[in-house]
Amino acid sequence: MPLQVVQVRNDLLGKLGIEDPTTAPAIALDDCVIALNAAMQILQTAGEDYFTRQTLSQNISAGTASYMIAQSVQAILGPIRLASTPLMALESQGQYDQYARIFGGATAFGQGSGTPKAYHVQNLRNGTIGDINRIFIWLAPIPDAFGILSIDVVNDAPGYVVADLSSTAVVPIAQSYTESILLPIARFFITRSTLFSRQELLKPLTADYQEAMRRLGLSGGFPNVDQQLPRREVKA
Amino acid sequence: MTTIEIISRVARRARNGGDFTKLSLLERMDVLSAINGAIQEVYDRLPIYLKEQTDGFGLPAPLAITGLVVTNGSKVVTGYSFTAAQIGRSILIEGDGTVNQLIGNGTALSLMNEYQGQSGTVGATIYGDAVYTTGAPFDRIVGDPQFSDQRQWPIMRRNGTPADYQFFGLFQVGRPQFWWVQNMGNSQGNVPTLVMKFFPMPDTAYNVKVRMAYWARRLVLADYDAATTITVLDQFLESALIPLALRQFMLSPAWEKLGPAADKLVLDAADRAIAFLRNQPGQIGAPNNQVGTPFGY
Repeated sequence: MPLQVVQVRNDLLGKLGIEDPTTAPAIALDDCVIALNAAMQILQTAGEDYFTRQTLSQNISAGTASYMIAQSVQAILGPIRLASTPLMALESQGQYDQYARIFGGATAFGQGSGTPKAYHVQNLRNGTIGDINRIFIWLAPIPDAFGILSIDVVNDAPGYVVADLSSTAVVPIAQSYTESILLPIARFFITRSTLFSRQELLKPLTADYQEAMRRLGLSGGFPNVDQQLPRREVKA
Repeated sequence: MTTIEIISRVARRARNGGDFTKLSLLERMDVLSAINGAIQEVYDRLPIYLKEQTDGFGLPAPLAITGLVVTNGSKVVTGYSFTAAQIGRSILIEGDGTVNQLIGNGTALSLMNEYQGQSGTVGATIYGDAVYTTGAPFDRIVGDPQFSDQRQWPIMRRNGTPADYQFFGLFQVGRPQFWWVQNMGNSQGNVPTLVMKFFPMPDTAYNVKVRMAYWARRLVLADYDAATTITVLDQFLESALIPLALRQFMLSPAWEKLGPAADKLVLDAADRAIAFLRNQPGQIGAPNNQVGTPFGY
């Protein structure tokens, strides 16, 4: 059965030696939130193919070169598609600024006008509070007609607050692999709490954490191009 | 094989895991450049007949024009809209006793020599004694041009220059008997690269056929977009084009560096490709004697 948020809280409190959640001090609940959010953030940054890919739809209009993506988006995954046509990624602002000269044989700076063929992802600082990252997509050539972009993105990790810890909502984890991946990571982070005193647990929890990170790799997270995929063998 | 198919095959050795759809636009251009380099290498080593085609050209009859505004001592004439096809043709302008020539870059035509007559508005005659080909990377002219009427002799090449006019006499007009190449200064960015000149200047319209060799067309981004078919025969794709393209792609930062041993396999395959290309028959339609004949002969 998929694990609920409240069950994760209870498990983490147990590692702090608090068996009755109703007696947990505020600092313990704060540490639970930190540990749970840290674990979720690790999963959300584990790699584009760790079940974090979502597809956004973005309308484009004639004459408009850039489009602001929702604040909750963490990263853009390529390729962006215009209808069913994949667009090509540009590597820098400079390539975008001179798109027509570099790739179009033109003499003037700029991107020209037409059906977009390429895009540039721009990450800008936005504001001074909270998530200050804002993503813009710049199209080249600049669209000359309406169209719809399909953009694969990774959204920000879920952010829990203390009030959420009593929720019976199921923790959002791919395949519901909460026990083998999420919990070991969260338990490791709870050992950083000032309330953690069970030193005999530190070694096994650290080992479990390392095993969970290894499994995260096997499950598709942190794809490493230099690492050979594990062989899948079947024994009679 | 289409442009996309060969990009897909060559980019198998890209450092991003071999998926060209994940390459940036600049990296895809690197792949395209590698393929272009390989195509040019293939055609550099293949026999000339694979680059050859027969083009037909018209040598138009003399064209009388009016309203030409000329200035003494100037190479620029106005008042008449010359066409790009007229580049290289001779022009005899009223008031000037010498045959001049229309030259230019694109459609910006001007005169080869300064107009020596009185300034004013005059008439002129343009002679259809020059042709050039556009839209293809020129390699060479193969043999003498022939009139389209096969019963007539081909026009003979003369290692001459416009100075030949003086040898045969100025303003000689008639059925072309000789031809030569006039280079237009491509290193200076001039277009076209060259024109074929004919002498005597045509007295009426003639059609000529010229066997010409062209380099293979370069692939550009538009070919990627349209997935055009590449200009290499099927039998040279896997045996030559792809190995040579891989070697060219090694120069790109997008190349996957697997070490000297892996690189040597690519270099060896490219060497075998070159040997394969050199072993193609030097001509078709005749027996190919390979007994005791070294490559290149």
